[in-house]
Amino acid sequence: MAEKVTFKVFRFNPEKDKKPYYQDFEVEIRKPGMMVLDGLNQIRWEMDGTLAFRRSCREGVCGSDGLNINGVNMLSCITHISDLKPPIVIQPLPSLPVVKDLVVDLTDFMNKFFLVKPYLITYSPPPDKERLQTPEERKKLDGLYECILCACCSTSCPSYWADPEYLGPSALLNSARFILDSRDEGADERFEIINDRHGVWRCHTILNCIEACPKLLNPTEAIGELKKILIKKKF
Amino acid sequence: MKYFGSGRSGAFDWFFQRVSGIVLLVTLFLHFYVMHFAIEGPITYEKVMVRLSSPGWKALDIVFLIFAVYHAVNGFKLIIDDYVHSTVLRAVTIGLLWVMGIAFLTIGIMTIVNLRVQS
Amino acid sequence: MAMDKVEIHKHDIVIVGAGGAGLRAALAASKEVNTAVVSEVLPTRSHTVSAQGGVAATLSNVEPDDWLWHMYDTVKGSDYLGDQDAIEFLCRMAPEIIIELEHMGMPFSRLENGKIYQRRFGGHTKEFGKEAVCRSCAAADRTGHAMVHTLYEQCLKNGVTFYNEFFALQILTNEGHVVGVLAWDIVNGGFHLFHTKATLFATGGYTRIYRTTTNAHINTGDGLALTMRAGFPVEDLEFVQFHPTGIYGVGNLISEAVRGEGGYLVNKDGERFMKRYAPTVWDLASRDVVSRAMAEEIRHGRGCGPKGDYILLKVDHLDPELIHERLPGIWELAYVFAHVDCTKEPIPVVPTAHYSMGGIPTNLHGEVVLGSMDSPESPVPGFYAAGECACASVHGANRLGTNSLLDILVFGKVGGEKAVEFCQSLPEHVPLPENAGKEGIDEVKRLVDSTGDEKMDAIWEELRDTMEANCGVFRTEETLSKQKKILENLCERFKRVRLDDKGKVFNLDLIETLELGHMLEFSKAIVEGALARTESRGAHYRDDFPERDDKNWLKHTLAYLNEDGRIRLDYKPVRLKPLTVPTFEPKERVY
Repeated sequence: MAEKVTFKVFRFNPEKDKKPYYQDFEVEIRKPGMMVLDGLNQIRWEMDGTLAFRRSCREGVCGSDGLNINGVNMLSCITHISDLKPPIVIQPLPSLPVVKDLVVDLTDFMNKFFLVKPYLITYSPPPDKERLQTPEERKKLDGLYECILCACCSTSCPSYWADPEYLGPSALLNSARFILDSRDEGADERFEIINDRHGVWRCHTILNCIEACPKLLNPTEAIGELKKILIKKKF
Repeated sequence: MKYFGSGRSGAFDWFFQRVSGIVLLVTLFLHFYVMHFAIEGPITYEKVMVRLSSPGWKALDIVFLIFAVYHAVNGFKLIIDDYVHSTVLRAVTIGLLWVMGIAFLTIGIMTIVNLRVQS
Repeated sequence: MAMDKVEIHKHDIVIVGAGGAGLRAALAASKEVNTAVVSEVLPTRSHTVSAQGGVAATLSNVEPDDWLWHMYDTVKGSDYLGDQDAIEFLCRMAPEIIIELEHMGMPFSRLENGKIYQRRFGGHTKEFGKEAVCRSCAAADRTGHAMVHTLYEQCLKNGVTFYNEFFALQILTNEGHVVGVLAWDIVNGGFHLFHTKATLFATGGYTRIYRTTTNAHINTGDGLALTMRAGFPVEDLEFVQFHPTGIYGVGNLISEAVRGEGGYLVNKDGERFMKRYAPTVWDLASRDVVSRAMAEEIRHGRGCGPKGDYILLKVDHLDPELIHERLPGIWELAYVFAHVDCTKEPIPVVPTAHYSMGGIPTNLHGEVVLGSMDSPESPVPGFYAAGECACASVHGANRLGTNSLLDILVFGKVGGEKAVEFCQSLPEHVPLPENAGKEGIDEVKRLVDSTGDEKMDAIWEELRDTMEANCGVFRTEETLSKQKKILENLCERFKRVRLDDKGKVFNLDLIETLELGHMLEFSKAIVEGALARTESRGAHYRDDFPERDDKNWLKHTLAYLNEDGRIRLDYKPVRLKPLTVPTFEPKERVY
């Protein structure tokens, strides 16, 4: 007899429901190392096909399946069920509008990403071959370029919840990825955007983002680097 | 993109909150030391008043007052930033904060300046 | 549910799919004409993001290299089924397209002298097969992630129009011209018709039809099914690549780069068995050779583990610093999915369905072409394809690692540019046909209103298990015929499938069921092609016909979908003549 774990899943269908509610499902553990996503799929395919959530790669690289599980933001595809205390409460990412069940509207999150000009800006003409970059310079990008835009960090940040204008840890980390890239020439343009009450200075080092990031990145540290650079420039 | 808040970036406030925090911490230990270790014999009203009335201490106390008021007002302002979003309500609460801040500063400075030993 | 409203969008080009190929095409096209990109998911969720190992280009940063050797490796890797003109084009374009990508900001790993880091990879050799060469340009082991994010960022910079979370339902044609696509808005529900001068498909692969696969949930070959339904052929579907090192039990990919950095495979006796199968390059042989070797070892009882059904990939003899610097993603995957710290223990791996060499037939310009043994290739006006869903064919019967990331860039760019040329040559849009999109709309309505008794998952489970058993690494006439009947039965059952979710908003049930319908259609083409091809070539291996037969079978399979659901096969010759250099004549393939 296979072991069963209770999943308490947040449900909301905008076409039918006025308010969201929680629905219990008994998920059967069929193999060792089963992930929360495997459980959600089991629910979809065998118990209730109306459950909606995003998923794609199922190995923690695409960032589709950010969810709030037992109060903490994480990716459902790399979270072992056995690491969680049942009943497992699954909710959509906090503070974003809910489209349906566990699907949220990421428009605001993506807009903030677009705002920091997250692309290489160069004014000098490119060389014939690749632009050179030493391994030390390249190392600066480690911990920054791996961001998968899953929104776990920004939606776990109380400053992001409180301030609708706050860029958020992810956008700021991505701006750092370019500001610190030795090939980039657009640092000043970006500083103008992030050197703002709703930019880096809204970060009060609450540190939720570090706990939430599934790729083990450190947005607070990146934001700290940016603050240091800005203060040095000012004084 | 900016709905509310002044045009300032907040960089100075962030920096000075930390600077004033450190200053307050240092003065806290200084106060503790002076009160409990640097006075010879029992603490009396006269001894304390003599010290507080000296120009050196008055200057120090005024500096401490400025840092403390700044730190407190800035801190409260950040709390208001987190919870109060409507422009009208912000105008009211931050306005009250400014009034209270200036009041504390003024009354405080006046009190410190006018301290003297009763004769 | 009021489902009859169709919103029409007019653009010059629509690109379906926003992975590496789609984004590169969008970059090329959006500079010149009004371009729309339609994608099932947010672009950075596309499966390109999982690619790990690297992208091949003869930059000669580590040691001298030559595009002619790259071309030879690719032609040989394809077991001589690849079209040599397209392969020459691919290999010659490689260095410039990688440099272009680096200029766009891609964070490649670097050598001490500041140049792009290159490493060894399976199947890539110098001097026509002498020994392995450092040709794979990499960004640690997150090359695909870095690439897709860089391309997406560039698209944002250039203001490309994205229609995210739209699912393509039907290709619209008017007298042989492709005039656009019908799509379903996943988030809000509703039909959207994109009326364009040119349509480019970059919809990716299809190995989700197998139980054990490295692919994401979204890799269900939708572009191929839509192409077949529109009356166009699909090419070489029976060639499915089984990657040697997918994690046992789950299928997640462990990159070939691990073997490129010095890792190797052992059987239960601790023997490096690859030396018997590939005497020159051992574990860095081509993927089909390695997969078959592993499957042979398992078949002959030398597999590892309690059930003897996996092989071990050893990396623990390498410096842990090296693993954490060059292969950090691999370490994470092995830890999370196999519970193994690969700096201390070996990783259990099995051959896993990974890539589809076949696809929508194109020429080296990315134009979709019709043709057969007697008639030369002629492009379909307004239809283009690039990336894994296309078959140029640069990979022939088997793909070399790091060539796919190159394929998507080169043909994405070229396809986009060619589509732009076509648009600029057309003074105005070719009008839509009568009742444009009726079949797509009807299909959705039929599924939503269905009252049958079958559930999607039951059918899909059986599809996956049987395809793996009967149409996997080793195939025989018996297993393939059995599979053909099974598929017929599954298609019948699919007619009675019922949806749980009948809503409009984010109806994942509808999308998964539509995808299942697509998967059943081209699975029939795969099995039909495999059954007919009585030889073994590249990734297609027949136990009953183990030899390669160039006399009868040096040709591409084309599969058409008939009205009644049956598959009609045709063939077309391999384009053996390259652009400027002499042909690499088919030889016996040894590594």
